[in-house]
Amino acid sequence: MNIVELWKVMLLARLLLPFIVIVLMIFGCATPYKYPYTTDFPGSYLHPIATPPVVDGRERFREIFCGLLAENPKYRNEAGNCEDFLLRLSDEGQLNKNPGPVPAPDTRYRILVVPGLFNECFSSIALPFEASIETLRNRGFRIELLIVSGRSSSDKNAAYIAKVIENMTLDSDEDLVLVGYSKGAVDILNFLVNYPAQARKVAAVVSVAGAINGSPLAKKFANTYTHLAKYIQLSQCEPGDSGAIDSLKYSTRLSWLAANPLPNSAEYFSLVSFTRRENINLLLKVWYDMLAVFSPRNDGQLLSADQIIPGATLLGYANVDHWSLVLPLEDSWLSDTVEMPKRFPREILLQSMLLYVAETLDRKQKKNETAFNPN
Amino acid sequence: MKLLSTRIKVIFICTFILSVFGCGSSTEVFNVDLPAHTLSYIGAPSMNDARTRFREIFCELLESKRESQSLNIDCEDYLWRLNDEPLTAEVRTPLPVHDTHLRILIVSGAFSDCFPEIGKPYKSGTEHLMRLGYRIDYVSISGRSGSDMNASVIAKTVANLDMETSERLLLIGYSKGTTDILHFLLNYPDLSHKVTAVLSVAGAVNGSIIADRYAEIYHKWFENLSLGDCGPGDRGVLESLTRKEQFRWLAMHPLPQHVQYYSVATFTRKENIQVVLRITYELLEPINPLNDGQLLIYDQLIPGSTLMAYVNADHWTVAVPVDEAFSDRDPDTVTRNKKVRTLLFEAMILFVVEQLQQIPGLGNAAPSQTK
Repeated sequence: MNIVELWKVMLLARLLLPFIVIVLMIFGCATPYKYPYTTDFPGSYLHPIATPPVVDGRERFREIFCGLLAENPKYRNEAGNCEDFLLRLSDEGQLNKNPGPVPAPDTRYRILVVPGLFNECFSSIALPFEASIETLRNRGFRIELLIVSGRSSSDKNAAYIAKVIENMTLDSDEDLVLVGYSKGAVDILNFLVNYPAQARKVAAVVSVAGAINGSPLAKKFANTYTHLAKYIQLSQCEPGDSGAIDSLKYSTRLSWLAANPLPNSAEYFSLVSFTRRENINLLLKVWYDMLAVFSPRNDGQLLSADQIIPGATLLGYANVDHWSLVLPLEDSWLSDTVEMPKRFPREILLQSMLLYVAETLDRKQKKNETAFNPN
Repeated sequence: MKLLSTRIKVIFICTFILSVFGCGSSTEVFNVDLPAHTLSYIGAPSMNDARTRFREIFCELLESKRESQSLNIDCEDYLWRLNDEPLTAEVRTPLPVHDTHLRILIVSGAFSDCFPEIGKPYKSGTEHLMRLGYRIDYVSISGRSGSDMNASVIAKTVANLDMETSERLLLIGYSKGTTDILHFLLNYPDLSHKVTAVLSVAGAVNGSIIADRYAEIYHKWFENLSLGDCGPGDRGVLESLTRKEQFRWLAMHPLPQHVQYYSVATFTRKENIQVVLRITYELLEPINPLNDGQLLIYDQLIPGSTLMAYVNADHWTVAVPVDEAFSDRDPDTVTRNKKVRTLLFEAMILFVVEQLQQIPGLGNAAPSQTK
């Protein structure tokens, strides 16, 4: 090293020294940053790069949800809390002071609700939207639960969904709307791709807190579950192919989404849930804390950024944990042991989603008719 | 009896949950069996994938110079191949021809002017291309200022640029330089019409979690401190880099559509991260080990851009020669890194040249120079 090079190195060392000292000082005993919970931040979603963009339907969905809440006598005391039930993030805009009317009930569609992980294992407590489905059926909606294997992989459940749909008697102009809760949404997506002939009968898919990208929890849970699954005897649910947790791994889900474009024949909708820690069910808190390392925007099972189907219309962000979104836990014995979140108007939520979907499909149909028959 | 059995089941499941998750800590594993993915705001435009073509260009360039430059690096080791990248075609398309009508402005990253010797990205790469006839300049941004302040510096530079009518302007942003460029495009819409393309390298597009962690500490203790050769600027550097600022900004400001956007992202294994960056790598690791010591894999892509590559390098090695001044690396590795950086820069320019030639109205009639 000649004298000029030595001088250069010394000069650089002099310049770098304060910087290095600062770096070591501030990063020395650093802990990972944990974002505080806030709604003052836009909505976001993680997705494979080549997937279609997400459409924002939050404003119209809020109009329908709040309108239904206000006109339902059962929720009269809750009507003022509409903004509490649906979170308003920083990119949604302000409240529309002249909301559009709530669409009239549209009972043309056959609706199947597919539950999530371990669903039938706890059917004695409740199944997702069980009471709401009963109420809506009494109002003329043709809606029913499609119970899949709670411990099986999404491909296995996809086959079962295909079989059920194949055996359904549908009129030629009758379309299906599939509502998937949590892993149920994943089972539905796998069905659409694996069984294209049956998938053509589906006009719309609604994901409710859907595990679209899976969950960071699944990877940790997978090995343990696989080993313990054979010892877990849950009388009401069969082990199935025991592939449920593997279906929810990040790598599995993201790779599947990247490799399998969803059929264009259906419209897609996503309802996301997350809430602050104090609203999380006691049994979910341990998971909430694990997910909070990634983001405080989680519902105790899933991160909010993992719940949106690529190319879907985003309906909204429900301010509730993963279970209370669809299950009436406040009515079960569990309410003795856990801090319950505020009673969430599940029936209104389900009805709002179905009305929004029907309105969108109606618009699409009219658009197609105009395109086909321009005069 | 049924109720009791349900209670037992729930208690069993809870015990199971606590035994599995009891400690509450989680170790994320470095796993590249994933597709390319990104974190987007609602309504962000779709991206394009051009990794296959960029890989062809880079690898062919590498092969053509392997012997003359004694490059002992495998192309597949330098560019990550994620599980959704199509295989390279057996019959390769020839290398594009250089087109010196591409006028290039480079915007460096945070603190770059504090260490002018090592802060300028692709210094040897620009020297090489200037010898081929390209006109390339660095924008004199303030390394410790916020993106809006630097956007005005870029605007001034673009406004005063002596461009020939046949020239097309490419802005290259490295790290925070990308953020500064995006702010320029939005804040100066008239001048943005002079820009044909933007290339982001390890761009802090969504901001960085590291900045969120340290913005307040920097503001409190270090923003007035003398750091190397640079002044304090408007003191907004870290604030601009926080995800809470940058992602919010991105969601509210759709980017102009007349510009072509290209993204190169970086991440590498912990053992390849140079010593100073290892501290910040470990801060990001629990969230996602696929990071470059400053940015997570999914925070580096411009919405609506064309993805060119995931480079297997840390945040500095991909663009600036910090390891030449301060690192735990052996001299051979440092020399190799310098050569590969030069090669990467040339491959990126050739790729953009080819891409623009394929867009009607942007192609140039007079390609110049040789390969």
